[in-house]
Amino acid sequence: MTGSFIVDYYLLVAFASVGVFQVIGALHGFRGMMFFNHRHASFLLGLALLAGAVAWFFLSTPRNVSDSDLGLNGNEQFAYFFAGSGTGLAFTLALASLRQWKFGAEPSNLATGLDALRESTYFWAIRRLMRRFGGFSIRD
Amino acid sequence: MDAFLQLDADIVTWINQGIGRVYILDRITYLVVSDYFVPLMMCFWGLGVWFHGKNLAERISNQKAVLAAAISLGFANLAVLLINQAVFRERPITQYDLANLLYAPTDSSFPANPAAVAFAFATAIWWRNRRASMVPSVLAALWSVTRVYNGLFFPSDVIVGALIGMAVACLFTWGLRMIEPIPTRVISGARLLHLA
Repeated sequence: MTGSFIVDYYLLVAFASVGVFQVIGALHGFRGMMFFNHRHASFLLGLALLAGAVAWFFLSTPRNVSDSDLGLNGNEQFAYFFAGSGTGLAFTLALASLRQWKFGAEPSNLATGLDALRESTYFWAIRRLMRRFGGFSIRD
Repeated sequence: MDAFLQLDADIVTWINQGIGRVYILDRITYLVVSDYFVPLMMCFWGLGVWFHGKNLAERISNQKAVLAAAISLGFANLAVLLINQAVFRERPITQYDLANLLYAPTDSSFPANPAAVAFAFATAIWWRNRRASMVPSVLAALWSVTRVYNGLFFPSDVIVGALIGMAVACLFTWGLRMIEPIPTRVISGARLLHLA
């Protein structure tokens, strides 16, 4: 509990969405999204993060407060969900790229879209994309 | 009409007597009736649906469902807001002596906003993936029932709210099909960035 409802909500969404992305990565074989090579470990970590974040948010202090008081209205919830899940996604892709640095580093033709994350980390997938469009590349 | 309104009130006052009798049920209700739990779970489910699909065609179809669900949710909210400008109905909790595990809202009871947004989300998913819509449909139903259980809405508020949500979702699912290839291009843009 940080003392701010908005920050608490943002942290809940960010941590829980990291958990959701771990579960998704484990279930669909998107290794470039996972923190571990082991799918079961990623799945369990994801569930723990999701359950932990929800339990922390709802059990740490009473949350049934009016949006005219300290709570959030529907539009604010949508905005902070978008921000929190975006942060969660960015964190997931960045940490997974660092944890599995060599995964997908060797030059090859990647699948398009999300399927690229079965063969590479997000970092290498984006790097290939940038090279294709003649943009910045750290090895150039 | 009076008989109908009386039936509405009788259902709320009867069902509300369950609060405070079973501790575990109260704790579960406290969570489900919240403004945050069900919307969060639905949005996380939507994230899951976005990434799900046995093949590319199924995944793109699911992603269009999520786009339609997100848009429908917003417009269902707007539809209720507009109706509230013309119609005001007091909450059951302000008219009768009822127990409540949420706070006591003061805005209009009719139509029920939570039912509208939740059923809009579930219906938009249902049009493209029946199996994936089961979880949001159950969550929408649970959220609506607990809102009546807590004396926050009359059953008719929830039924009309759900119908508004479903109608908005049908409209926007159809609308997104009519404006093809824009949704496909949005997804193609996300595919280029390896996010779809």
